[in-house]
Amino acid sequence: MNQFNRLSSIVTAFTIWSWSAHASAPQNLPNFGEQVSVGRMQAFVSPKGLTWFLPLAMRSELSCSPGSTSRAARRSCNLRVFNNFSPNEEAALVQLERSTGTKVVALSAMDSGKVLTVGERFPTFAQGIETGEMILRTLQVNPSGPYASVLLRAQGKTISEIEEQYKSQGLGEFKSEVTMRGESVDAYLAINNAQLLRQELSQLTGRYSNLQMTQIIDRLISRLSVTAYGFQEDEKRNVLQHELRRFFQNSRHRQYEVSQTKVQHLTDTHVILDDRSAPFVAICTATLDLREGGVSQTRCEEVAQ
Amino acid sequence: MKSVFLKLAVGASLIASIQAQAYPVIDEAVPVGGHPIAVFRDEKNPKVFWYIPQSIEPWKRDNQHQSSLFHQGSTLSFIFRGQASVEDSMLIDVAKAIGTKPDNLMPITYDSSSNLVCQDIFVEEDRVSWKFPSMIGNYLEVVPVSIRTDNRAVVDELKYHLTHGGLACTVEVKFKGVTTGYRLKVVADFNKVYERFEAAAHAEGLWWEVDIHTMLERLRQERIITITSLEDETITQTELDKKIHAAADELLKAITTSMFNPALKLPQGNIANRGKAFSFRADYQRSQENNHVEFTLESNKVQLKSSQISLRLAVD
Repeated sequence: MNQFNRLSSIVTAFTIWSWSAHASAPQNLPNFGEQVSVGRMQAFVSPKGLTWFLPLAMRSELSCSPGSTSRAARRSCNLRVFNNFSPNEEAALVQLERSTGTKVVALSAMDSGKVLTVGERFPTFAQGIETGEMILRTLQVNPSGPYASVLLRAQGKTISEIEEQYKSQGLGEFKSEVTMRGESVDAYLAINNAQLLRQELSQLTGRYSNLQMTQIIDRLISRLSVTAYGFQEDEKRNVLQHELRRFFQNSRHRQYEVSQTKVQHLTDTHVILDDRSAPFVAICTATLDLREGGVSQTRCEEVAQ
Repeated sequence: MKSVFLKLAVGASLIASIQAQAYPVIDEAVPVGGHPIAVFRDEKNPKVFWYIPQSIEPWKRDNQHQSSLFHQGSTLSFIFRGQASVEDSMLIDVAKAIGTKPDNLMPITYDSSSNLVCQDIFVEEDRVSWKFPSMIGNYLEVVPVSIRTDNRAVVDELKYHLTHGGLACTVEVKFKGVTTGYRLKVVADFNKVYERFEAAAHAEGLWWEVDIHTMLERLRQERIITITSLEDETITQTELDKKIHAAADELLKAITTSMFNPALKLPQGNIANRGKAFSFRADYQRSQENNHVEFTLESNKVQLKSSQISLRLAVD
């Protein structure tokens, strides 16, 4: 989007009033326009304040009851899937928070505004193997217990084969498929400390020449905390200057004064431009290779409408 | 990994009683850096947070309710005592992550529980009996589950699993919280809205509540007022219409506050069942700003939220 279009899109004046009793923090959707891998997980960096990540960092363990003297006797194995961060992944999430200046937040199955469905399954096991599955479908990391498990029960020989297979080619894949809402942000510009703007402008009660107004605006811009995404530096500055001019109005004789009505309605975070796609549904699949030492990988894609 | 169970502080109970009828806001969980508990803001007190533990582990708080495993000859008997668990150290980390003190984190009491389901591939075996409740009660209560068998074929197998990681169960729990009934963005050309009301005013410049509702609906159809959902842009029209209907009184209040005063002097005639009466405000001014006005309408409601938590049937 070029500079002209961006300026045009913000020309329409607007005033935001909030009648709600509870001020709500921004709750942006995951931004699929900027996906980053954090170890085994996928994160969605958004300029709007929240970087969501999918907390699926899985590995497995196989634990089988000891063999007995009778090969025909039944034995069983518990194939457990664990979901927890490694220390490196935990550190990487902290680093991501620092480097992006956003809050890094785990998506959860309880967050129905963003997560639509969580579908998880073990592979199908051979005939003759009884299975007892237990799957949580919560997207929560759980350091103390398994995220999912399946009991496999069969004759002793079959269980021995399962143990061997787990160590070599693996027993198949455990999949966690999460459908969620997302968006793709092209450009975003917001003033994060608009209360400063409100305070400064409310004190300007005089009339100012065009030059004085320009100097006031430049001084204000230097003190603002701004989130700019998809903007070149000079582009950002031009848009900010144009936006701050909106708070001034012609009085008379080429003099400008601050419109205090507009100033009063500034909220603490003043969004100037939020250029994004319409929300869409995406599917992220975390696939765990069920073998000794196997770890999960996560891939995400937009679902065709 | 050993867990240090949360000591149930009397203080927490005291705070809970003071917070009578206070609920967590369950629209969005508060970010807690990926720790395995869901944390929600308190509806009323911004410093208080509620958490719901995600798993039930073998009891370790004291010696009163330990799980026990008896194996004698060909008989195995296991009695599980469990409790929803949260580590002190994790609560400290979570409190730090959300910028509060651990004392401000309070456990949500489950309203009800159901569908306790366990891995039970021994169900077809002879002489294996499972006894477990379908409900687990309050999160602090003991969860009694027992397994007994004298089937020699399964004794060693079952004992192995109970002492090496345990068998897995899940249970559905429900708890009360408040959720946003609606969060709507209203955009209106106030100047046009005022003109329409002015043109169609009743005698003596009065408007009645029921008529204001009708006019607002007409203005919405003509898109002089537009209402969209701030929660979910992919919401269906039917759902959106329900929320707009629920917000009708709030919308009326927003409009009347800007343009009307309560009428002090009412005319004669049949005015029953028409609601409150309003007259135009003399100080309402048409302005460029009022060409495009935006505001938010928001409301909460109490509802039951369900969650699935895990239970690990193990000796320790």
